[in-house]
Amino acid sequence: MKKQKNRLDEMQEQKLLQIEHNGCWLAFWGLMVVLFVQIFLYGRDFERIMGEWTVFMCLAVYIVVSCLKNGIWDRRQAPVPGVNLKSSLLAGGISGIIFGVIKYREYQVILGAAASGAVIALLVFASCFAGLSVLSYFYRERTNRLENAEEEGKEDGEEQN
Amino acid sequence: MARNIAIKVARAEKDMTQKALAEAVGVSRQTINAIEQGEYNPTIKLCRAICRVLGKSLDDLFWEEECEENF
Repeated sequence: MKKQKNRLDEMQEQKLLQIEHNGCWLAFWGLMVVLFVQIFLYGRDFERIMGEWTVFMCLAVYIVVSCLKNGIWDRRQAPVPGVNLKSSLLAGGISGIIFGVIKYREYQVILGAAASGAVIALLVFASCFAGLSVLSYFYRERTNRLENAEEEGKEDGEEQN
Repeated sequence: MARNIAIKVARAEKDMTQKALAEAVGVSRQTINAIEQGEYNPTIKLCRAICRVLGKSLDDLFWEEECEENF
C-alpha cells in the first residue's frame, strides 16, 4: 500500500509528537496506578490483571530498549551508582510502606506488617539496584559505541576530502 | 524567545499576508504566526525557504544582536 503524504508541517509535527509523548506517559502512569489498585487494594489474581500488565510491560520494555539503543538515559539523572542507589532506595521504601500498610489492614499486627514491609522493601531495592546497574552498564557500552562510530565516520569524510 | 519583527517587515515590503507566505513556503499560517510571535523556532530548512521567498538573507531575518554578546 502506498504511504500517504504527511499533511502536517514541521511545527504541527512537533506539536503532534508532544501530544503523543504526553499520551504515552499518561498511559504508562495510568496503567501503573490501575495495576497497583487492582493488586494491592482489591487483591486481584494475576490472571485478572494480565491484559493491563502485558500492555504496561510492553510499553516499559519498548521505552527502555529504544532509549538504550539511542544512547539515552535520562534528561536530568546520570547513570552512576549513587543515583541508582537513591532511586532504588526510594522505590524500595515506597513499596515497603504500601505493602506494610496493606498487611496491617489485613491482619492488624503491626510487627508482622512491618516485617513484611521490610522484606518487600529489601527485595524491591535489591532488584531495582541490580536492574539499574545492569542497564547502566549497557548504556555506557552503547554510548561508547555510538560516540566512536560517529568519530570514525567523520574521519572517513575528512580523508575523502 | 523574542518576536521576529524582521519577517513581518519583510513580508510587508513584499505586500504578503501570513497566509500567502505560508502557502509559498508550504506550511500552515499558524506556523508563520508562531515564528513571528517568537513562539516557534523553525528548522534551518524552513528558515531558508522563508528567506528565499522574501528575498532576504538568514542574517537579515533570523540574526539576533544579543546572540553576538553571548558568544
